[in-house]
Amino acid sequence: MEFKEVIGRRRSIRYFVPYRPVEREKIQTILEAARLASCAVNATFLRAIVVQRDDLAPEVLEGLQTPVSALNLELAPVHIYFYGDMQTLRESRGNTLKELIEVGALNPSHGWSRAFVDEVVWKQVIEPLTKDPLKLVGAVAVDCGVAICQALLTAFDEGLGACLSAFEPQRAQAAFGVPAHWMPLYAMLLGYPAESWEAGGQRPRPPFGELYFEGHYGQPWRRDPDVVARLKAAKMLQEPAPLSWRQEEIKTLARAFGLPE
Amino acid sequence: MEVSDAFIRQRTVHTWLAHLQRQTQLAPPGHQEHLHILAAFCAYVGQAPDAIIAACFRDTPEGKMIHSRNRQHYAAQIDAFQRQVAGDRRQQVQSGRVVRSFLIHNGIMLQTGWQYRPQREQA
Repeated sequence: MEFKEVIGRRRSIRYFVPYRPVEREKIQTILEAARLASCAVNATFLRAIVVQRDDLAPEVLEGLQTPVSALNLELAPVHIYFYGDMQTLRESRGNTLKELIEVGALNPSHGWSRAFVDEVVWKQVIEPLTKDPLKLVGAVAVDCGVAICQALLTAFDEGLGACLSAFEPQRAQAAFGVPAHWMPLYAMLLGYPAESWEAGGQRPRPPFGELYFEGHYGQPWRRDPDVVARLKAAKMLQEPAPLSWRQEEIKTLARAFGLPE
Repeated sequence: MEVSDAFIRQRTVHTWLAHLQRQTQLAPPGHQEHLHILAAFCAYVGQAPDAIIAACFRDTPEGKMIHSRNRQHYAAQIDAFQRQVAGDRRQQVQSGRVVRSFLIHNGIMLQTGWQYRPQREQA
């Protein structure tokens, strides 16, 4: 699938074929995509624990559920529990940045040197950041979000369905032996979609001009209709929800799984 | 069993049927089975529809919140009700899903599992 179409086809899938397993190589591909994501200071914050739903004892599966995630967790055959490692930055002591200098990613042309990292960046930027919980959470969350997004898009590129879901962090910590310094984020629920890939159509979003500005706030970015047409042709912009047959699809799925309407 | 007018006039029953009609185009003739199942559940727990929904909420200084313990109680009651319905598994599941729908359309967030999961069938 072309990249733009992958973006266009991504939806939060909430109905999975519960008995169809996900191939191990597809799960690995998803994790490989996450590992390559852009990250500040080249510190890779994202951690994940992959769990096969059917390997969980029923009481553990039930314990992981929140009131709004119970069904999704039960239907998805694979759960990837994502965490942000809050110690990575402190433990790196700037070494991950120096690695970038070693491999020619950060260069003297842009003012970078090992001495600059040791004497300035570590002492004045990174170390203080590790001691400011609010800023650290922000930095870790953004970078993990970028990596999770790559994982998510890769799932769709692999022909799977996925959605991000809340889970009970304390129960997960106990069940999976999660280190205390890992910050719980989301679980990515993974499987083959039981709903159509359209899943009712592309979700509503605020108007473009309310979100993005040109030069300064209040000056909406001018949305070029030719670009819109090109993105429609590339299947990035697709038929918006609701599709006319969505309610029938929901009804059918609800009956198939014995769920309320 | 005939469903009384007083039962149908309950605010929560009206809300439920109106939402069903809007969302699933379930028109009044199709309501009858739903009403019978709900009436059977109400008889099973000995509570009127409005009272069930009222019990699942609690007033707090921040506004109306879901009463988790009572919601859990009714979720368990629906499971038990479903199990004692005469008929095959599909008929039992149908009864449960109708009652859960009543709570959900009245604002009680409720999730049940995949009803036909093999280990559930054995339970």
